[in-house]
Amino acid sequence: MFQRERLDRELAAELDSHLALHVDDNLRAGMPPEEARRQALLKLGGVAQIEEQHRQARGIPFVEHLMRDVWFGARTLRASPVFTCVTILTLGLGIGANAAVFSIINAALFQPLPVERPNELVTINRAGFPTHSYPDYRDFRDRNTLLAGIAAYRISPMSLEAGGAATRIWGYLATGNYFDLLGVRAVVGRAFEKSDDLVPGGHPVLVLSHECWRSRFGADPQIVGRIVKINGSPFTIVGVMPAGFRGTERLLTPDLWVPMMMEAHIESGNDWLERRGTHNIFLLGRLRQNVSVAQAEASLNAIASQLGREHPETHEGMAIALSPPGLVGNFMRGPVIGFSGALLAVAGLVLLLTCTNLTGLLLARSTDRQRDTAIRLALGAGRLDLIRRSLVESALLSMAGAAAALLLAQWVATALTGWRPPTDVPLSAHIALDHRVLAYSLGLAVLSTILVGFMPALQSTRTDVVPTLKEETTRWRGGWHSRDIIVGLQMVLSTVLLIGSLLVVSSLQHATTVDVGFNPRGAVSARVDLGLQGYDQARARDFQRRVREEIALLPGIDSVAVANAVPLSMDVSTHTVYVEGQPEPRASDVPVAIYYQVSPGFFRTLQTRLVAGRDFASSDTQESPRVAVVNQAFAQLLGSGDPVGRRFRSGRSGEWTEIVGVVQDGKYQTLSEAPRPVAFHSGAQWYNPTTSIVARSSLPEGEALELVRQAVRRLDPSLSLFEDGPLSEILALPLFPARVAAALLGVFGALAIVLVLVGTYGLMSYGIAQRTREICIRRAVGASSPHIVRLVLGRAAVVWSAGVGVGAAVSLVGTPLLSPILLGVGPRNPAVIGLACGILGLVTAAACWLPTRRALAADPVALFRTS
Amino acid sequence: MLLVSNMKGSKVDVWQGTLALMVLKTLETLGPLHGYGIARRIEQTSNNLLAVNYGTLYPALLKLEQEGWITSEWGVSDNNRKAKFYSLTRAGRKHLEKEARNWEQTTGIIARFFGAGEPTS
Repeated sequence: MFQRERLDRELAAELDSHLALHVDDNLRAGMPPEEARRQALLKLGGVAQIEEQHRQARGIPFVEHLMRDVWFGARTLRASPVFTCVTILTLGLGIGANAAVFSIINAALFQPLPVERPNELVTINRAGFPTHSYPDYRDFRDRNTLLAGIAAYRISPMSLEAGGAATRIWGYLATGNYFDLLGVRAVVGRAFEKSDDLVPGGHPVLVLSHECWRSRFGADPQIVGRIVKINGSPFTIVGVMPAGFRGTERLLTPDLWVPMMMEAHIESGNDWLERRGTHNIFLLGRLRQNVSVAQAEASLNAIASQLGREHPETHEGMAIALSPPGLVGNFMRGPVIGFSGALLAVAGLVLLLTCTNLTGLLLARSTDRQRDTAIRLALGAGRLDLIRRSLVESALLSMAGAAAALLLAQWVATALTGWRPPTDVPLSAHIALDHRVLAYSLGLAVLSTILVGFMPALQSTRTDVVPTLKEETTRWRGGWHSRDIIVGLQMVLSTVLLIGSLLVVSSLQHATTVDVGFNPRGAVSARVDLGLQGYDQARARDFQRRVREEIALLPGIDSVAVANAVPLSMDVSTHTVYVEGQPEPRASDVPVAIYYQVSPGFFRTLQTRLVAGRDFASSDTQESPRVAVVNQAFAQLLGSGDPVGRRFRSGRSGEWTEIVGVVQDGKYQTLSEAPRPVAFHSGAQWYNPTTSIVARSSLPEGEALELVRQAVRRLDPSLSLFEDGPLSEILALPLFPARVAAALLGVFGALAIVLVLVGTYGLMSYGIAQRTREICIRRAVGASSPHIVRLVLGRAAVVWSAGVGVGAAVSLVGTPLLSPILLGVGPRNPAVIGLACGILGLVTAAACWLPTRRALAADPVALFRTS
Repeated sequence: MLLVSNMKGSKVDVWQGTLALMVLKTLETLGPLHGYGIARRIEQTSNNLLAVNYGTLYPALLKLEQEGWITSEWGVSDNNRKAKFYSLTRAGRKHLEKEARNWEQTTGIIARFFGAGEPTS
């Protein structure tokens, strides 16, 4: 609109200048001023006419047209509030699901770390697993020339003792240049620096994360200089990091950072600083300006091959790959991308379903407005105008839908940021809506505008003006109608979603009944890491013995045992097995067994069935011969004959261990695993400072757990327990992926059923409304009720069978993607496919019920009277 | 034919097309020029046959600008008057070349057509 005024003014100025030039010429030719001006005006012609022609040539500006359409669209939408609300909500759900999924992916993959110039940061990955030894770190740091610096870090559990109470937390051991390299400064106090990290054990200082400062220290501004204990040693707090900084791993939230030279105080008894063979720290480098990743990678590989020559026994063939930082080096990148892809695919399916349903709605609406459209066409509206108007209307809806979607995504993001998965590791991500999520949602809104709006727009332009205006009902055309195709498409999408969700749900049902080899009900467990608490071996063994005695005496406790870990927790260790009397297999063929170190009474407490031989006894001590109990899968490694009495070595140079008992197979890592060989060693003969206490009791689980906690506190009040809860809770972890998938697909599956119901109902109602005249004539000439029913249901049956058929075929290709989380059901399960088709058939039949009744009730006499 | 051009129908197109060509040719010959200058030039070269109002030139100029064949810019004339100067763009030059060739072809055909009926002496 401003555009028009500006152009008008410009034309006026141009005509003025034209006249001035002409008058000048006329004056020069000797005309008197009055005459000169008159002649010039005459020659120019009517100014008003020129202006009008000019404006016509310009055309009405696009923006002005658009504004008019937007106003018109808003008015029509306001006129039908129910339709508008339903549409916006549906789109909000569809786009919102995608925006939420994308915001998770954004947090895991795209959002830059909150550090200076994050694009220059690279993780230096060793082939295999992305960790290095500290001596290697030193060599890379000192020999490389293309990186501005290399920092190293390691993430460890720690016991933080402040104000008398100890809590288990996770923190970084980081080199002195870590904060400097990242360019992150403390908000309170200072970060630690190179000078804090020169001498082993030299500077017991720590830097708190903002969150830890807030939640554990009440955001105390006087915190600097305060002394707390980590794993029993005093550390001085020197600073607090800014709120957004959560370390350099995207999916972990640490509580604090300590200098790497303090390693011996954090992981006592395991001094790895000078061990070249212990690869346990992550390296983070910053590229120098104008150095490409490929150049830096090549130069680091040169150093790696140097190291290979210098230390051939451990570093032969060492190779380096650089990757963006943040996902446990590049270790988690593949799984994260895979999981995100699957999530996006499901969310995309839902958006497609939403769009097809809305297309159906809008088509119905455009049919309702046929008369309106016909009048417009009769009055001379161009078809393009109609298409544009219709698209503007769906764009308005999509934009409002996108706004609703962002609200939903914001809610999901907040919930997810605060949520912790059922593990001890502080897995979490900071999920926030930034410009990327915004752009993605808007992109989806535009896409859905096109998907949703285009077909109705085209349809409306195909209106036959004359018959519509004469109120002749349009004939039911044979052949395929766009609405049939849409419902068919819905049927396809719903079949796929429904099959997926049925598979996951039935798998989950199966999972809760699977035999895990022990009875999680009625037992509780709690863990304590005595190593972190500064215990030496003698004290720790003493504690492990006394805690069992203490708890066993409590009323209500049936049995108690200690172990380094319980099956199905995250803590799984393995060793190789060499069986006595068998030829030594090739290195790659040596069997591997999971192992646990357990006390007497472990199998009784877990209610794991002893198949042969005996349990551990108090007579198995450090002095007596080594003994082990194995599971049935392990016994099969030994070949035929009685396994009890046979001997094996754990590791090539391990001591001979005699098998004294065999227990039933169970599940140890995941619920879907095949039976795996497991060796239970005697805790008395194998020391491990990590201690899981398990107790079985007839008391309610909460009370039993409290008894265990009190007993530990009586023995040593400074110990901090973790992973304490009912034993059944640890099943939450292996079931977790399946639960998430079941919840997601369950919701989506239900949504699919509703959408199909609505879609089919709409299709049938409209079809029958349009055919009322035909049905009445058929009845009048004697068609029977079954004949009419066949007529009505025929089309629905065709759409159903085509949609379900294609959907089932698609699912055969798609569902094997689910197999990692499926348990006890194959990904291509004919019963499930049949059930999904059946459900959709029932839904289709239900959707047809009312329209069919309406068709049967059509009264020819009434119809012929009125028309 | 040019004189009856301001009427409806196909003749307008002929007129507009011709006028557009004249404008482009003028700008090619004389370089950047204001609307008044273009009008005078066309009037002169057509031996004052072009007896229409100067004003009709301006919608034509707008059309040419929308096509991208000319661009305009405010400047100062020889006798210090502010005026909008039009100049030929690269696309305009190409278009002019093409149209000129077409025109020569057409006039050639027409000329031969009329010439063929006359006795060759």
